[in-house]
Amino acid sequence: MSLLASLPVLFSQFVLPGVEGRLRPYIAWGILLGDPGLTIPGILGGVLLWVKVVSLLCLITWVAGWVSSALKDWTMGRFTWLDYGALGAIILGISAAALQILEQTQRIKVYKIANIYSHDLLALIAIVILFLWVESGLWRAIAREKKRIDTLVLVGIHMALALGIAFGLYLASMTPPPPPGSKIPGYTWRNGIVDGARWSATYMGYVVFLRVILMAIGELLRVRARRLTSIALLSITESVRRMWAPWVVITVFLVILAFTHWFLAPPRIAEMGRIYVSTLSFLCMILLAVMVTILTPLSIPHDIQNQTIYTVVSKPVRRIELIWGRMIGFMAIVTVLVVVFYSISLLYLWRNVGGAIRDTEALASKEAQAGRMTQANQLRDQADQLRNRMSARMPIEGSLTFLDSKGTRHLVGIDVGGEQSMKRPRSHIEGATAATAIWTYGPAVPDPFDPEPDPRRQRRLSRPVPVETLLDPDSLEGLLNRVLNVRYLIRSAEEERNDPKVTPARARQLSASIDRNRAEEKRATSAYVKLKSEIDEIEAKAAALPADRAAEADSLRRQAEALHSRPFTLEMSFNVYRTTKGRIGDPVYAQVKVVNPVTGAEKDNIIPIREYYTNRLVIPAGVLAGSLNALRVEVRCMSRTQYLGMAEGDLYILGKSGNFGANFFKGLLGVWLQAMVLTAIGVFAGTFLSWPVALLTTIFFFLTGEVFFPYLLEFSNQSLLGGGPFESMLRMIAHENQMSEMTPTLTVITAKTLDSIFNPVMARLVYIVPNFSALDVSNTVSHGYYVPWMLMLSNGLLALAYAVPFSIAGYIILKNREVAA
Amino acid sequence: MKAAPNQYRKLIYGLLIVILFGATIPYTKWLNEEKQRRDLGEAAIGQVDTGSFMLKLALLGGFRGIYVNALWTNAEELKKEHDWDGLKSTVDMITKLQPHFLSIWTFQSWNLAYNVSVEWDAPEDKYDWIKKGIQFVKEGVSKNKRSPDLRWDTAWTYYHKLGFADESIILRRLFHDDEDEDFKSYIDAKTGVRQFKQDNFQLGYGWFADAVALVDRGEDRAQTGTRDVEFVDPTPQRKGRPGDLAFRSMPAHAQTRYALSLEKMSTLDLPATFGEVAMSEWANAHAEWQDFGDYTWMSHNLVRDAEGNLHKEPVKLDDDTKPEVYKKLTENQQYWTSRWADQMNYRYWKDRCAAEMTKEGVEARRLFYEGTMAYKRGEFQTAVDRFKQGLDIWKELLEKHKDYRNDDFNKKDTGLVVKRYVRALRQLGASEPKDLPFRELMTVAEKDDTPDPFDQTEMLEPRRSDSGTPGRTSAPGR
Repeated sequence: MSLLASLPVLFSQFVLPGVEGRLRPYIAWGILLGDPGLTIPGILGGVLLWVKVVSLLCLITWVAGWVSSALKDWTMGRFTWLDYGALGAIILGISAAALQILEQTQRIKVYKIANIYSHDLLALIAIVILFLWVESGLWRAIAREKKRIDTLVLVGIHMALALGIAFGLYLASMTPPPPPGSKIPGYTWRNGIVDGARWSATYMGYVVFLRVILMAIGELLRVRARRLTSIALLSITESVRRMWAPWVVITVFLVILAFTHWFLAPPRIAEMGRIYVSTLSFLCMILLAVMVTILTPLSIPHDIQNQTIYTVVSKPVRRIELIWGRMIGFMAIVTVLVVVFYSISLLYLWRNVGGAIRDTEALASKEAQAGRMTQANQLRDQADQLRNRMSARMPIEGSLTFLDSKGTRHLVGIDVGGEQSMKRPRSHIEGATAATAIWTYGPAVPDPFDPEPDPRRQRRLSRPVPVETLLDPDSLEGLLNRVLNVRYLIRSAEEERNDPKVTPARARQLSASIDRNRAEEKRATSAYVKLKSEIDEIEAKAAALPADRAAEADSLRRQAEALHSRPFTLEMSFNVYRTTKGRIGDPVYAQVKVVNPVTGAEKDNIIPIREYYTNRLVIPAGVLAGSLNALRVEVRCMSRTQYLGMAEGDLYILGKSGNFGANFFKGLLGVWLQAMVLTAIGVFAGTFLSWPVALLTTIFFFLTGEVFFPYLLEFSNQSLLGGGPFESMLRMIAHENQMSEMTPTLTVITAKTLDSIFNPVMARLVYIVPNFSALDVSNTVSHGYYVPWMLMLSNGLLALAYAVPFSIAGYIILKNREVAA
Repeated sequence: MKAAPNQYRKLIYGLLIVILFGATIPYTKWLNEEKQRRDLGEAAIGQVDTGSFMLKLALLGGFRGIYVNALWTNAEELKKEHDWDGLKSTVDMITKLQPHFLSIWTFQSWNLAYNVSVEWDAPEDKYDWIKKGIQFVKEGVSKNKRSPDLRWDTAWTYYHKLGFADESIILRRLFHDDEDEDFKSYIDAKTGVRQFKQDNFQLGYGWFADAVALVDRGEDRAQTGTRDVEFVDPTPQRKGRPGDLAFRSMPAHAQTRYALSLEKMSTLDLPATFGEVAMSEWANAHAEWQDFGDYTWMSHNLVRDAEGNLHKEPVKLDDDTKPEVYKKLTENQQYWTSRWADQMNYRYWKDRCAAEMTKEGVEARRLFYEGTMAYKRGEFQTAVDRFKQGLDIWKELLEKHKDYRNDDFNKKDTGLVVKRYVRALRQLGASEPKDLPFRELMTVAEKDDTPDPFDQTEMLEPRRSDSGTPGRTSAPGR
C-alpha cells in the first residue's frame, strides 16, 4: 500500500477529481500500467517502462505473426468483401492524413461532422475496418491451428480490450464536467474511449507477454550448459576458420595504431591523454561493432543455406540454445579481443602518454634553468593536467548555492551572457564584493531547488564528506575526530534525556549510552593528548637542532608528519570573465575558504585561477575533525571588476585517485556491452532474414543507435526543425531553410502527408533501437574520473534489457520457422 | 566435348579482367598528361600527406563531403562546449579530408588564433593557441603552395595577433623566448634563403613580402590549366587582386612596425634598441615604402588618348611626393595619385621613415626614451636634460619633414614628451622656457591620458605598494 500511496500527486489530484479517495491509488496504478508514455522515477519506473514496451512489442509481433501466417495459408486475403474493405481502409487512412494536412495548410476548409473533425472520422472508420479485418483473420487462423494456448490469449486480449475501454469510460463518467464558461474542454466519453483504447493496448500486451514468459520459462528450464558450450565453440570455430574475424580485427587495430600520428596530433600536452583514450576507445568500439555486425547476422542464414542446420536441429538441441550458444560464442571472441585491445592500448598509452609526461617535465626543468619561469610553470601545469587525466579520480561533490554582491541567497549567480548550450552552464560571481559561491556538504543538505518554504520540510540531498576515509583513525586528526564525535553523541543524548517528554525506559537507555560514551571519550582524549605531546616533542627536537644538522631535522619533521592524517585536496576548474583587461598578465584571484560548520575550524586560501586547468588546493586534514561529515566551501572572486564562473561540478573534494588501468578496463567493458546488444540484434535478424537483409538490418540498428539516436529522440519529442524526412528532403532540394513556411503545393502536401504517416513509426523506434552511447563510459574515463561499479551494473542491466528481448524474439521466430522443412 | 558453362564463364571473366586492366594503361598515361597540363596533381598543388591520402581513400566518393559536414557541425558544437582541444583535433581531421579547400585553413586558423586564444586567461596559454593558429595556416601553405591568400593570413597572424593584442608586450616576449626555429623562420622572397628572426614583426614582414612576391610571379588559385574549368564552388582569391593597395603596403607596414617597436620597451623586460641597428631598420622601412610608391597601378577609369583609344593610365603613389613630376601628370593621373596616396597615408609613412632613419632621428628617440625612464624613476634633472637635448634635435629634424611633423600621430608622441618635460621642470621648481619647442602641442597633450598599449614603461609599471588587492590595476603615471 505504501508503494501505491507514493504515486505521483498528479494522478490523484488533477486527473481524478471525481474519484473516491480510497479508489484513487488503484485508478492511478491502472493508468500508470496502461499508458506507455507515463512512468515513475527510479529503478521501478525503468522496469515498468521496459515491461510496457516489451508487452506492446509482444502484442504487435503476436498479431502480425498470426495475420501473416493467415495470409500465407490463405485463411485471410481470399478477396472477400472484408479484404476489399481493408484495402479501402488503408487508402482511407492515407486520405485522412492528406485531408488533415490540407486543412492545416489551409488549402481547404475544416469540416466537422457531428462535432468530429472529418479527418478524424475518416481515420476512425479506417481503423474500425482494419480492426474487423484483423479480428476475423485472427479468430479464423487460431481456430484453424487449434492451439489452445493461443485461443486463451485471444480471449484474454479481448478481455483486456474491454477492461481498458470500460476503465476509460468509468473515468469519463467520474470526472465532473468543467464549470460553465471554462475554456478548458471537459473529459467526455469520447476522451474516455480514446484513452481506454490506448491503455487497453498495453493491457493486451501484458496478456501476450505472459504467454511469451510461459513459453520462454519452459524452454529456459531445458537449457543445458553442455549444449550451449558446444554451439558456442562451433560459432567460435566458424568465425575464426571461415572469416578469420579476430585476426583481421587485430591486424587492422595494430595497423591503425602504428600510424596514428598520420591522423591524430594532440593539440596540447595537457589534453593528450584525453584525446588518445577517447580515440582508442572509439577505435575498439568501431572495430568490434563492425566485426559483430558482419559476423552475427551471417551465421544462421549460412547454416540454413548450407543445410548444416538440419544436422543441428535434428539433435536434441533447443532453439534458444541455438541463439544463446551463438551469442556466447561471439561474445567469447569479443571478450578475447577486448582483453587484447586493452593490453595493447594500455601499453600504447603508457609508452606515448607516459613518455610525454616525462618529456614535458624535462622541458619544464630546462625552461626553469634558463630562467623562463612562466614557460616552466605552464609546462609543469600541463604535465600535471596530463597526469590527472591518466588516473581515476573520485570526485565528492557538494550542493552549490550563491550569494549575490549584497549577500542575498540565490540559486544561480550572474549570467554574463556566455553560450549556455554547454553541458554544465556556468553562472558567475562578481569580484571584490560579497558575492560568494557556497558548496555545502553534509549527510542531509537541504535541496536548494526544492520550492518548499519550510526548511524542516525541504527535500534533503545526501552529500556527506567521507571523513572516515579521509582521516586515518590512528592519526592526531582521526583521534580528535573521535573525541569530538563522542562528545556530540553525549551532548545530544543529554539533550534528549532532559526533554520532559522522554519515557523512563528511554531515559535509562540514554544514561547508559552517555556513560559508555564518557568512558570512550576519556580513552580517546588520553590517546589524543599522548599523541599530541609526542608530536610536539619531536617538533621541538627538530627545531632545536643546529643548521648543520638540517637532514636530521628534516627526518624528524617527516616523522612528526607521519603521525598526522594526510591533507585532502580540493580540485576546481573555474572560468574567468573579465569586464576590463585589468593589469595585463595578472591572473584573477579567488579566495577559497573551507569551513567546518560544527567546530568552526576553517582554512582560508587565496589562489590565482588558471582557466581550463584543474586548480588544486591542499587543505590540512584537521579542518575535518568533528565535522559530522559536513563541510562548507566558500569561494569569492578577489579581483575587482572581474568575474569567476562556476557550475556545481566545478569544485569537488578529491576522494581517492584510483588506478587508471582498472578504469580504462571499465571503459572497454562499456564497449563489450555494446557488442553484446549488437550480437543479440545480429543473431535475431539472422533467424528470419536472408543474410544480406539481416546484415543491412544490423547495420541499420547500429547506425541508428550509435549515430542517429539524438535524431530519434527529436522525432519522439516532435522537436525536429524543418519537418519530417520527406519535408526535410524537399527543403534540401529547394535550398530552403529549416524555419520558413513552405508554400502548400502538391509536392509539399504529399511530403507532409507521408511524414505524418512515417513520423509516428520513426518516433516509436526510440523504444526499440538501443541507445548505444548510453552504455559508453569512455568519456568519463578519458577525463580521468572514476567509473563507479554501480554505473557499470546499471549499464549491464540496460544492455540485458535490450539483448534478452531480442534473443527471445529470435528464439520464437526460429521456433515457428520451418528450418528443417 | 562440350565445355561446362562454368568454364565459359571463367574464361569470359578472365578476358574481361585482362581487357579492363589493359585499358587502364593508356588511361593512366592520358590522365597523367592531363594532370601535368592542367597542373592538377596533388603534388603540383602542395605537399602530399599520407594520412590525408589514406583517409580520402577510406572515404571514397560522396561520403567525404557528408563526413566533412558532420565534422564542421561537430567543431562548432565543441567550440560552444569550450572543448578547445577537441575542436583542434576535429579541425585537423577536416583538413586531412579537404586539404585544398582554402576556406577551412583561413576560417579555422582565425578561429584558433583569435577566437580560441581569447577564451584563455593566461597570456602564455593565449600564446599557445595563437601559435597553433599560425602553425595551422602554415600547414595550409605547405599544402597549397600557390595560394597568396594563405601566406597573407600567416603574415597577418604573426603581425597583428601577436603584435597588436592587448597582451602584445608579453606575447612578443614569449615569441622572443620561443626556441621553435621552424616557427620563427621564413623564406626570404628576394633571396630564397631561410631567415631566422626573433621578432614577430620581422616574421610578418617576411610572409607579407612572400605573398606579394607570389602575386608578382603571377600565381593565384586558379592554375594555368584550370582557368577554363567551371568550378561548382570556386575559391575566389581574396588577396593581391589588381588594385589591392593595402595588400601591397603590408611589407612596408610590418617593417615600419618592427623599426618602431625597437625604440621602445615593446617586449617584456627587453630594453629598447637604438644606434646603427635602429637606423638600418628604419632605412629598410623607407626602402619598402619607396618600393610601394614606385609600383605602377592602373587607374580605375578609362581615358581617351590622342588617337582616340580608351585606356587606363599608369599611377605611381610616389609621384605625390615629387611636385615636379606630379605637375607633368594628366589630370586623371593626378586625381588617382593624390586619392590613393591619401588613402594609404603614404606621404606620412615615407616622410616618417625618412626622418627616423637619420642619425638625428634615432638620437632624439634615444634621448626621449632615457628621459622618460628618468622621469618615471623620479630623476627629474636627468629627465629635463635628456628631454631638452632630444626636443632640440627633434625640432631641427622635423623642420625638414613637414609631412611627418604635421601628422596627428607625431603630435601625440611629441606632445607627450613636451608635457613630461614641462612637468619635470616644475618638479625642479623651474618655469617653462620661453623657447619651448612644440609648445603648441601641450594643450592637447594635457588632456590626453591614454597610454601607449605597446610600451612596457607605459603599461606595466610596478604595482603601487599600497594596493591591497592582488591584481589591482595601477594607473600608469602619466
